[in-house]
Formats: sequence, structure tokens, C-alpha cells
Amino acid sequence: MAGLKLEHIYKVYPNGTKAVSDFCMDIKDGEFIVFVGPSGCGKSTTLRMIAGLEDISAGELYIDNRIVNDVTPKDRDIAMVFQNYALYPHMTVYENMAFGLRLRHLPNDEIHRKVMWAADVLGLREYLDRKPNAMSGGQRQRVSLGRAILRNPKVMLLDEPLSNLDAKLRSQMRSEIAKLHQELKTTFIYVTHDQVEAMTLGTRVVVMKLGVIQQIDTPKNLYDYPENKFVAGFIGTPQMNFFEATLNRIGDNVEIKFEYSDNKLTIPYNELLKVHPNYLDGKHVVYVGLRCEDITVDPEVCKNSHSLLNVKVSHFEELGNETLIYGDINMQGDGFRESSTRVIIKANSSDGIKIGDVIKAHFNIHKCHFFDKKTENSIVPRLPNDNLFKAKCENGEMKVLSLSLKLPKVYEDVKGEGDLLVPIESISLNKGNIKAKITNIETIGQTDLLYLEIDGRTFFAKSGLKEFSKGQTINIDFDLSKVYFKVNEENVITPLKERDVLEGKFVNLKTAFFNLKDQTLIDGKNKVIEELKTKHAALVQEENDKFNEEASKLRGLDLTETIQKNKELLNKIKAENAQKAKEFKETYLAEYKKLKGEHDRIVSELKAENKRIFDEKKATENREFKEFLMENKDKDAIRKRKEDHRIFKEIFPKDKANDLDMKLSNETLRFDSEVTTIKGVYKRSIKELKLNYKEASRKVQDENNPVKALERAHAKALKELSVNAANEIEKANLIFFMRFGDYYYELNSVISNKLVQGLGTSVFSKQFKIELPHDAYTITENSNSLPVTVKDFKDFGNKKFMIVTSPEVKDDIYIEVESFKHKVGDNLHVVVNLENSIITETAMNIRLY
Amino acid sequence: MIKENKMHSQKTRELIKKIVIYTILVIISVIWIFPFIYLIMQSFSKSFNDYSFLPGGGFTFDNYIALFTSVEHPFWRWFLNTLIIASITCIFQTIIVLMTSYAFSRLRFKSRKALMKLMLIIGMFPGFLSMVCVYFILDLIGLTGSIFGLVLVYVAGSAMNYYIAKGFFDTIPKSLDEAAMIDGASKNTVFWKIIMPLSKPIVVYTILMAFTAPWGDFMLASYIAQGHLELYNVAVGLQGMLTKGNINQNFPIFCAGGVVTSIPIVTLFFCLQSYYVEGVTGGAVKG
Repeated sequence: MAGLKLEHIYKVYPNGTKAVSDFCMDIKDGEFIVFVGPSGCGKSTTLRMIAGLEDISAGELYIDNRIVNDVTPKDRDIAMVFQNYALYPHMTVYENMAFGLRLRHLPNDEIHRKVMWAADVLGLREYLDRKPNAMSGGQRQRVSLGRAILRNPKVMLLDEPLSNLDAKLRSQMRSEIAKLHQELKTTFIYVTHDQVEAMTLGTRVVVMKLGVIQQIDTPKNLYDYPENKFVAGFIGTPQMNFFEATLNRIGDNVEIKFEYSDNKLTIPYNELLKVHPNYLDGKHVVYVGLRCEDITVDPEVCKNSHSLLNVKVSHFEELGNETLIYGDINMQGDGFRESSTRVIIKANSSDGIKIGDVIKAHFNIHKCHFFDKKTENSIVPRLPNDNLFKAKCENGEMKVLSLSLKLPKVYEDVKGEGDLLVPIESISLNKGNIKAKITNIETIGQTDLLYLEIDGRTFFAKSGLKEFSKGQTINIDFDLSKVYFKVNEENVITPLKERDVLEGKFVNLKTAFFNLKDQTLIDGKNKVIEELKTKHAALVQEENDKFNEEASKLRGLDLTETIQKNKELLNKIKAENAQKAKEFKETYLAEYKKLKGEHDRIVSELKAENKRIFDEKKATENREFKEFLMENKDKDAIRKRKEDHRIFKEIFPKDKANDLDMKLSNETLRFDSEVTTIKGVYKRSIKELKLNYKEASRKVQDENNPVKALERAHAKALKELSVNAANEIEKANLIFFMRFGDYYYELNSVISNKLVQGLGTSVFSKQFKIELPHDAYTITENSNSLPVTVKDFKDFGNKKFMIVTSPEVKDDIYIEVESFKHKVGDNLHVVVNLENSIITETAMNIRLY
Repeated sequence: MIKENKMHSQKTRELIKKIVIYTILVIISVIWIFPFIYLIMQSFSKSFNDYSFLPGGGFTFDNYIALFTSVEHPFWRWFLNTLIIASITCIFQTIIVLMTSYAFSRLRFKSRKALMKLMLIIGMFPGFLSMVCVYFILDLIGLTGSIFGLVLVYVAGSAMNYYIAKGFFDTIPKSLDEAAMIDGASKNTVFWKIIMPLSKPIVVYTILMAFTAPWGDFMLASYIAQGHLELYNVAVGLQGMLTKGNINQNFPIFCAGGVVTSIPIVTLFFCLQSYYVEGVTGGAVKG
């Protein structure tokens, strides 16, 4: 039982296709996560990467806070259930389940206990001695589940486990899996392409498309707040209706005008507070999404409705309890094709509506979703990104609402009137002296969205959970270094980019040394290796001492008594086993004899019955035939009857044999399966006896010769130590640099490991984009550094920046400084610190660090 | 009535078809079995008689006795040689072929495809093309004039027969390997404990092929034996009986040798034949 963490996971195949891109997710202990998406969206690949069956191209996977990228599947402590069950066909159900435990050398009685427990949980007790091919699909999948749960894994992975089952069995197994999750309280990760399974099983669902996560949320939230058009269309049947429309704000109302149709709706602006204001200009085309249950043709509702649309009915789909009405809001549309005017309406019945009618339908506008036409992302995000205000700047001051804010030094000259865009992050709470009232609080995941009000204007800010309460008045402050100010469609205030972009290459120590000729690099490495060697030698010495001490203690012991006792013990077990084996055999033979007797009796009964029925049949036919000949004088009829009789005689023996075969085969099948069962039980018992004896004798051997056991442990420990030392020395040998022009930055092991792991040996031939925060620079005298020239200064009040250029870097670099000590045109040297940077491989756009 | 006639003609046509097919089959089997019966008959004859199907000069076991007691033709020794060569080759070749096939089927390594094609093409050249070269190599490592040289030559090329076994392994679902790996099995365990029990038919096939090829080989065997009687295998030895112009005298003994030689192969086939039919993979996946 454990949590999982997936950080920027990529899967790139050798031909360059990206199966999974930038997969980030935190999975908590005991969650039931479902990956869902159309085929080929990378969900199974992700699961197989978690299982270790597929290499991770870049990124990191943690299970229980341990990085497991290079850990083999068996050591990840996971269990997996496959779509095609993957049972070992030559083993019985019992052996199938016990296989993994046997490979882990668990004691025999523990294996037995666990297998029995799993069999009880899944109701497989009666089938333990069957082979998989004698079982139905549902039973096989249950065995597969059993095999997974009895290892008590940290994570259970299920790869479309129900796809091969029929509909009825599927829903039954679905509830069994849900029950299993409740009982085991393990983390489950479940892959499916069936949205019903995803919605019913998952505590959280990951919707994927073309290797990219679309949304991670609870099933309810996915349904109510889809983040983009794909999720909206994928979740829910029938699919959500999408219309193309433009939004136009007129005073306190917003008019929705549908494309390709004359229909219009008007809704109050309050409903669309969170919409990015750019979209309300009546020019941007957006998708309006509405589920079929939120459109109604119920006359009662329509009578009082203000949002009615004309729909031309094209056809119906009767589902029994309800009806889907297909129509088109475009009077020329046909309603069959999936278009941006087609509409599906859920109604109780289609009474009174005919195909071709134009009916009024009520659109529930509270449930509308809006998506950008190009990006297909929702334009009504649950957490809005920006607030838009009208503002005016003059004399170094900015007037917003009734407030007057002092502009930082850089922007002192800005003048004009225009739109001020304030990102939600740039509003800091409990700071500054602007008073705002909290009118509403919406909890979204781990954050609270605050609806703030100043002068009757509502805007948004973000806070931690339950930091504030509704109705409270708080102090806020705007961070003006992060806002945009637009005058006449031209940005006059734009925030600083958060990071500077540098380009670098990855090189090894030899290259760096060749170019720098700096002996200290080599010396430093050698010193580290020397230290490691001394450390290792000390550890070996310690281990040796410990061993010698314990061994000498053990050597002094007198073991004759133990040996004698153990010998007796073994003999006793042997005798017991022989006795038990004999008993087992007797039971088996007796049972077999009983079964055989019963089988023979039934067979003879069946034969007799068959004979009786067919004799009777034959007699009837003969009698009828004779009577027919006697009574009938028509020549043609007689010929016909004769032919019939001939055919009867011809097929009679075959018929009889077939009938007997059918009856017998049922019986033989029953007999065979019973015999296999008792045979299986017998074989298993004998095998267990043998294994018990083997275990006991191994234990006895260790007790009889404790020194030898100790020697074994000692050898193992030594080997481990030397392997560890070799690994550490190898690591110390690997020193890598990031090269910016003539400047070499020594990478720490974390960064270089990630890069090498992500790209393998091709790491040396790639270009990297390094994005650095502004505080990652230090000015120095060291000659191995980046030469820069001071170009300009910027003062944002709370932060001061020095802008420099460098021949090695394309763009300007902003260095955060405490005060301006240098002059424009000064030549300086800086060293960078990559620890907080973002490193991306440019050719394939893979984020590596 | 017309309908009935049609039915009749249909039936008759079927019947004629069957008669023709079975006649052809009978003729073919007679042709095929005739040499063998001739061989058996001749092996019991007292004197060689070209054109008689029945034992010439009466029925006798003397040929068999002569076969095993003759000093001139140490058949016993040849038989033993062949058995040793074939058995050792069979064991090693089976293991190598199966392991190669498994590797080609399951592991993905660089130049896998190129290697597969290369081996396939090399395997198409007749073995005797390399005879001179093989001789020199064996001479270098001092294995000429020893039956183990022969074993080495047979085993060395065995990986080239990977093709059929690989095809079989490809049909075993990969998820079995993966399930076992998650259960904690190494590649080795997967191969021996999961794949091998499922592959009985192909194992049997490989064993048979690996056993029969060296059993009947003549060219390499005669080449490496270099005329030493005690290094012959049965094929070389038996052929040697007939070359000296004493065909008439030796022919019945030669036939007896032929019969004895065929016994192990026939037994092997009969014992292992049942595995051919066994469809073991049933139940591994939905079926």
C-alpha cells in the first residue's frame, strides 16, 4: 500500500513517436485511479511503464517515495491483471496463484494459507485444482485477480480486465472489483476505454488523448466541469451537443448568437463572470456545449422559459424508459450528421411530436459549457486566470476603479487609458492597504477561489483552504510587475518573463578538460575516488571483524546434541510424511474407486436407456410402415413411404450412436473433472509433504552447521559491499558539464542522471534549452564563467534587475540585484546555478529536469 | 422424380470422387512402402536375388547374426558411434535451437532482424560447401579423427534452424512472460518454467529433427572418419559394405543393417508422435 508519483513522464519510441507526453500525477495511498481514453491514447503504455514492462524515456516514477525507473518489475512490489488473463495454461489454478510466492521462496504453509485466503475472497475454492482451459472467462479473470491480490502488492494495476467478458459478466465483475478495492484498501490503477467503467469505479479519473492528459478529476467533476471539448464529448452518453456561437456582452446581459441558425439566447452576465473578457466581444467564435438532459421539450417548463430555441425534428431513438429526439437548430440541417447545429434531446416520450416538426426546446443555460474554437479549452475555467479592469495612467499613478496605485519607477512615463489585465496570482492577500470584501468562496480541490468586491465590481483571487470566510473584509495588494496594460491594442506594460532562456550542450569530463586544461578537475575526481576506496576498505574490515568474532563464538559450541536432536526430528517428519502419504493415497484410491463405480453404473444405465428408447422408436416405425402398406393402395404414396422408410433405416444407427455419444460425453466430462479434482488434491498434498520435508532439512542443515550458514551470509554481505563500492566509484567517475560557449558548468549528479537517463548516449549530440530564474546568477572574478556586458537597469520598486547581454546567449539576461553597483557598458563575469532551472531537449521538446 | 435423379447423380459423383482419391492414395502408399518391405524381405534371405520379392533361398536370421559378429564390418561399433553422435547432438542442438528461437521471439536487441535474415540465408547454403574449411579448423583444434569433431560440426550450425520454433514461440502470448516477470521470475525462469511446458510439440519436433539429421548423415561423417573403420557411423559403414564388388555376398547383411538402423528412428517417432497433436496453449488466452 503506497502512493505513486509520476513526474514529467515521457514515452518516445525509436522512430520518434511520442506515446506519452509530460505525464504528471500524484496518486495517494488507497486511491482508485482510472485511465480512460480512446484507443492509442497512451493509457496502457503509461500503465506498463508503471509496471516496468516498458522503459520510461524521460521523467521519474516514484512508488512509495522511492524512485523506481530502473527497478525490475518484480522488485517494484506491484501486481498486474491482464486483458487476456495471462494464466499459465499448464498449471492448475492453485499453482497459478502460488507461482509468484514460490519464486519468492515463501514457506510452504504460508503460501497455502494465502492461496486459500485469496480463493475464499474470490469464491474460487472449488476450482483450485482445475486448469484454466476448463474455466469460463469470468472465472479465469477471477483467478488472475486472485494471483494479483495474494501478494498484497503496493499497487494493483489492471489493464482492461473486463474487455474480454460479455456485458452481463462485465457489470458483475465490475462490482466485484469495487468490493475488492474496498476490502484491500490498496492503490488501484485501472485502464479502460469504457467511460462507464471509468465513471463507476474511479475515485479519480485521468482522461487522455494522443498521449497527453486532458483532465484529472473526480467522475462528478469531469461530468460537471470538463476542462476542454474533448473531455466534455468523451464523458457522458449520448455525446454532449456542441454548437458554434458568438458571445456579445450588452450591458448586464450576454447575447449568445448561434452560427448557421437564426437562434439567439440572452443570459445575464452574472452567469459568465469567469469568462475571459476577450471572448465577450461578439467576434470570437466559441463552442457552446450542453448535455441532452439539460434541454427539454416539456411544455410546462417551456411555458415559463426565457431561453427557447427552435428545433427541427429529424428522427427518434427509443430507449424504452426514455426517448432521444434528434433534431437541428438549423432549419436546413438534416440532424443525422454530427454537425455544429445537430441537437439531441432527452425526453420522456415522443408523444405528439412528428418527424419534420419544428418544436420549441428549453435550453438550461446554467448548465452550458463554453469552449474556445481553436484550442478547444474551456473559457469558463473553474479557476479563472485573469481579471480585467478599465484603468488610466498619468503622472506615475494608475487609476483603477476608485483606487489610485503608484507605478514603479520603470513605468513612470506610461500614460493613457486602457485595459488592465491582472493575473490572479498577482493579487496578494493580507498585504497592502486596499480593502476588499469577500462576497463568495468556492472550494476547488486544494484551493479556495475568493469572489472579491470593490465598488460593486467582482473579481477573483486565490487562497489556501479555509483561510478566509464569507463576508469578511480583507486587505489586498496588486503586484504591478506581473500585470499587462493595454492602450489602443498595444501593450505598454508587460510583465517580465519569469525565466531567461539559455542554450547549452552536454559534455563529459574529457571534453571539458581538453578545452579548459584545468588540472583541478581531474585531481578533484581522483580525490573523491580515493576517499571512496578508503571508506569501502573500512567497511570490509568491519564486516570481517564481525564475522570472525561471531564465527569464533560459534566454533566453540558443542553441537553433538543438536545434531542428534535434529536427526531425530527429521526422521520423525519423514516417518510422519510416509504415513500421511500412505493415507492420502488410500483416500485417493478409495475416492477414485467410488467415482469409477458410480461412473460405470451411470454409463450402463445410459446405455440401457438409449437402447430402450431406440428399440421403441424402431418398433413404432416398423409397425406404422406395415400398417401404411396394408391400408394404402396409391402407388405414388407407397413409393414415397418406402423411400421414407429406407431413409429411416439408413439414419437409424447413426441417430442412436449420436444420442448415446451425447449422453455419455456429458457423463464422461463430469467424471473426468471430478477425477482431476481428487487427483489434483492428492498430488498437491504429496508435493506439500515433500516441500515441508525439504524446508525442514534445510533448516536442520543450518542448525547443524551454523558456521557454514554464517559464512554464506558473510560472503553475501561482502559481495554486496563490493558491488556498492564499484557502483559508487563508477558514479564518481562520471562528471558531466553543461557548456555555454566557452563556459563549462559542472552538473550535479541529479541533473546529469536525469539527462542521461532520458536520452541515453545521444545526450551528447543534443541541444538543450535551459530556463533559469532571475536569481540564479552570481557575479564573480573567476575566469571560467559567462562573460556579459551590462545593457540596462530596471527598477520595479520591490525588485531590481540588471539587464545584460552575452555573446553566448541570444536573448537578454535579467539578473536580479539588490542595488545597481555597475554602469552601462561594464564587462562582468557571472556564474549560473542550474539547480532551480528547467531543462528541455529542443529537438523533441522533452522536459528533462 | 427429376429432383430425385439429381440427388442420385450428386451421390454417385461423390462416390466416384472418393474411389479415385483412395485408389491414388493406395497406389502411392504401396510405392512408398515397397522398398521397405523389400529391404526387410531381403534381410531374411539366404542369398541375394535381384528380382524376387520373397527371401531368396529360404528364410534365415543368419544375416542379423553376421551383422553383429563380423570383424570386417564392426556394425555394433558403428551403431554405437551413431547413437552417441546423434544423442549428444540432439541434446545440445535442441537446447541451442530453442534458446535462440526464444531470444529472437522475445528479446528486442539491435540488429536482431539483420541477424535473423543472415542466419536464414547462410542456412540455405549446402553444408558441404564449407567442408574443406571445417576440416582445417578441426585439424587446428585436434579433433579430426574423432567422433566429437563431428558432434561439434553438427552442433555449431544448429542455431540456424531457429525459424520454426520462433514461429511457435511467437504464438504464445507475450503477456504470459510479462505476468511471470511481475510474479518475480527472471528470463531464465520464464523460459524453463512457463514457455517450455507450453511448447511440448515444438520441443518434440526439434528433438526429432536434431536426432534424425546426424543419424542419417553420410558426407561429413565419411569425410571426418578418414577411412578409420572404428570412426564410421552406420551410413558410412553400410555404404562401405557394398563398394568392394562383393555386392551379391553382402547385400542381405546390408539390408539387415538397414532394418536395424531404422528401428530407433521409428521408435522415437511412435513415442513422440502423440505430442504433435496436443494443442497445449488452449486456455492461455480467451479461447
